[in-house]
Amino acid sequence: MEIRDDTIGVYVHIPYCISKCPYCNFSSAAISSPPEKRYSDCVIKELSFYLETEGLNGRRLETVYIGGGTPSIFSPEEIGRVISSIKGRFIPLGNDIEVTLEVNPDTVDLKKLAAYARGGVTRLSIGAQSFSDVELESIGRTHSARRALDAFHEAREAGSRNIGVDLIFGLPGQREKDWESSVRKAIGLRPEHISVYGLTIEEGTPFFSAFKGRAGLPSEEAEAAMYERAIYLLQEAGYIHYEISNFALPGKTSVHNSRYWADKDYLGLGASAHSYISRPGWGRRWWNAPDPREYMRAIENAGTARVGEEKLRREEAMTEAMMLGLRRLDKGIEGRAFKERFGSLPKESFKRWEALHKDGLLNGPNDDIVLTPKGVLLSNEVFLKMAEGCL
Amino acid sequence: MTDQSLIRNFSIIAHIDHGKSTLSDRLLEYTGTISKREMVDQFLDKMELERERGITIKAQTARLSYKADDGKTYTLNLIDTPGHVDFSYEVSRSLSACEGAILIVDASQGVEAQTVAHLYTAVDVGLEIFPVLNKIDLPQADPERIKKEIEDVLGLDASDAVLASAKEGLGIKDVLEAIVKRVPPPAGDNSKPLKALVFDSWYDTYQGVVVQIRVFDGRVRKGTKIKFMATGKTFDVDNVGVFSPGPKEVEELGVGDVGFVIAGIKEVRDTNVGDTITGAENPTEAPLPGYKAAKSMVFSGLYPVDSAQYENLKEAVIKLRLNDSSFTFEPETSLALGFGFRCGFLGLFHMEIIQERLEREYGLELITTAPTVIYRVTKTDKTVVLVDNPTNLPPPQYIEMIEEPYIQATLHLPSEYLGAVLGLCESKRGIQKEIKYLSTSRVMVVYEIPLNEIVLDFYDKLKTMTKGYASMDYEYLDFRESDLIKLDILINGEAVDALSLIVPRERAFMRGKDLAEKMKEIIPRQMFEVIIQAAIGSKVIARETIKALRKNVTAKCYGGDITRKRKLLEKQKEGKKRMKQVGRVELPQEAFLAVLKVS
Repeated sequence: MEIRDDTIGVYVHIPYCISKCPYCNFSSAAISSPPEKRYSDCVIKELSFYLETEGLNGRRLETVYIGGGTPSIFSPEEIGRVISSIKGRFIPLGNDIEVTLEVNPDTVDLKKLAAYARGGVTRLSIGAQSFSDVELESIGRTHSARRALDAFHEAREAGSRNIGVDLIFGLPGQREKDWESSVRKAIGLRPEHISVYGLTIEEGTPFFSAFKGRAGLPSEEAEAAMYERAIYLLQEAGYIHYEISNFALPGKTSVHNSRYWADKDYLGLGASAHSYISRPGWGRRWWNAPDPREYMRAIENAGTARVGEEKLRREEAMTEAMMLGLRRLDKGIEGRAFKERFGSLPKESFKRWEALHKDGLLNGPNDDIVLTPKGVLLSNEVFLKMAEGCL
Repeated sequence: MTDQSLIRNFSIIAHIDHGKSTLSDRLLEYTGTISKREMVDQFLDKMELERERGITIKAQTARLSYKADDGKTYTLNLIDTPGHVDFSYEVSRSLSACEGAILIVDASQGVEAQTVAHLYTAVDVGLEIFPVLNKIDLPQADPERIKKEIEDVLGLDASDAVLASAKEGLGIKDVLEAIVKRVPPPAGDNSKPLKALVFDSWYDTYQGVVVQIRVFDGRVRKGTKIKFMATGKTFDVDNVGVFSPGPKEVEELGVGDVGFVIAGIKEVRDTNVGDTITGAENPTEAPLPGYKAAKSMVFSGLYPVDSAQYENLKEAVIKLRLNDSSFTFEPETSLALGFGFRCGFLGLFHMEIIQERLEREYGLELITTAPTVIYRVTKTDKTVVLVDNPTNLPPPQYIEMIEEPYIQATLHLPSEYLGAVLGLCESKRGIQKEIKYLSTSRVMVVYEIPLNEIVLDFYDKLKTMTKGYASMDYEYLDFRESDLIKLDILINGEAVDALSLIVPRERAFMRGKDLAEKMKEIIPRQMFEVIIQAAIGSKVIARETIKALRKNVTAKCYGGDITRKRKLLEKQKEGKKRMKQVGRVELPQEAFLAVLKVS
């Protein structure tokens, strides 16, 4: 009999921001005083709905992640209420499970950060994005570099021993040396976790029309160089490159985010949140209405705001296992787990693997398949070729 | 058998979009041949492709019953003709089955190239022709001007032209009365040996080949032993019938009748359009005039994108050939593309139709190589070879002479575009034969041009530079000697045979340069550098480099991104199915047709 993983991670989406960044396509609305209480009530009500309808009672809770938007726009009381509701409905895997809160530097101070910690937050993810004021302004962030540094120190002072810092490269007008300086400043803070994201120009954002044809943005060559430079500097400083965009000090990887890449169950609460249940079959995913008002109305009326759902077919599940597995640079597509699920090893299932290996894009230690450093830079091409040769 | 004096066999001829199908629809409707409920637009165009593109590929017939003002009920056989220059021979055979033709002219646009071409064909086969001015409901309609144009340009009496709007249902009765009064009844003798014209045939899964005929002498019925005079093959007739408009068996087809014959025939090839059917035991003395075997003029290679689909492609071309005797194919092997077929077509349009049908009706993904004409090569040892694939051109030292086919192109255009069009014809190695003003604003131009130039991009260019107002028709002339050489395209140092082409020597350099540039635009960047070269023999004349992809990374892939990313990947994977791997390089289908896109 299959031994079923009975853990779960819970994601809570807070779709409000103090201002909308011009590159962001996440579900969020700029608003000065969001309906905190009503929204939190909805999240808690939604949780009850899924506990019953999805049979999640008795699941062991491994992680909670509160993202956005800007969740730190919500008061510590509301955040604390949401966290304790979630913990109360499952069986926490321990007293100090990972509970992450995404934080915008402009929305916090020492007192508030301490209160979040008392409310159950054990990990902070600070959206610094850059340590250059010019760059911050060019991407419509309201905070300064100074404020981001201060927020970090305040978080430490408030007792946080697990902090992530987010940076973006490929910004308008950004030079390689500007980027290196931001990376060095981040490293200087010694956060437990650093994420580096290449700026993606998403359709439907103000940046999409502003940077048509990529004019005004760093060249592909410069972008590649920035990415490579960050990888080098971070690894040199002791950070492990464990996912395409994520680096952590040993033992400090994001447990919650790792669940997404490892075919583990997660329940998404709040507007636009996605949920995934891996068994039975090849997995099932559903998602909520993206508009916060629509979301709340639906929850209040029906207990759920689900607007879409997909049952994965075998080939889709395999494609995801490949694409997500390869993103995990420390693990790759794990041969044994893959075979257990699909009946054959990844090297047998993806007929292009050998050619990609010869081209220096993939490595195959034991039964696993991992991206090489060259493969990381061309990962989308590798995914596509792997998907093409999927048996 | 129908009373001969009450039969009228007629066709409708028109330039594309002048309203032939709509008028046919109205005639079917008015005579109650089909009810309004059954009516769909373009009723006689049965193929999905025909309806979608608003064209007629296969000839269709319909028997209409019409009670005329003189109190008698007539049998009117409408023979719908294909509407494209590629099928001009089929058109001429369909027209031969008639005694008369309605010439539709758009009451605002006037006479166009196909109007002229079809009219001449109709005159050639001796039809009684009367004009109908269509679309008279349009505000731009100017019947008096168009009547004059018909008289001036076509030399046809237009004084009693019927005014109609097929779309609005105006003048339909007038058209029917004109058919009865002006189209002569068929001549011919029922007691003579059978003599019937084959003007179309197709393969039906249940019945085998269905042959459309027009009886000129004698009669044919179930049990008649018939003989196809050109092929000499004989068959026993299983049944005969008419389309009204659905197939309906009848006892006998006699003089003047238009209908179908089913005779256990397995292959369309045995029933060539234009052939004469006669009685096997009591044959007629001479066949009907005008038969010629269909001849392919344009060739291209068809290859499955996925080599594993070769057998499916083979099955598909064999099936398609059952239905289209003018389409030819033979197996061919390309170093770059693997196993495929070199296919022959009547023209570019025919080629497009065949490709589309193969992909659509047989679910194939195909790579098509650039179309080429057939070259006649005289070697130094005086032997003559026909080359329908540039890669097979013998090395220059063995060639004494190359000849290529020429056509005569007749163009009709508004005079403001004359300069541009003359420039185009000159740049395509055209030889001017005639310029004639049809009116102050319209001009007719006749050129002799190598077919190869037409096959490339002539038609597209013509349409663009005249904003679609020019029309063109052409006929084949002969083979003429030209100074031609082979141009090769190399990708990462390897010549790709499927990309070779034959070009005039004096243009080889420019063509090579343009082509290499175009290929650079078309071929997507790959994970390694791609070098494109154009070469004549061992001499490289152009070079382009496609830089290697440096970075293609998705930054974020968390819970809410996964479905979207996977779907994107699936979509890209679908797109890649249209790519052919040549060596390590992935080439999109357009790369093989790049030569059509260069200026």
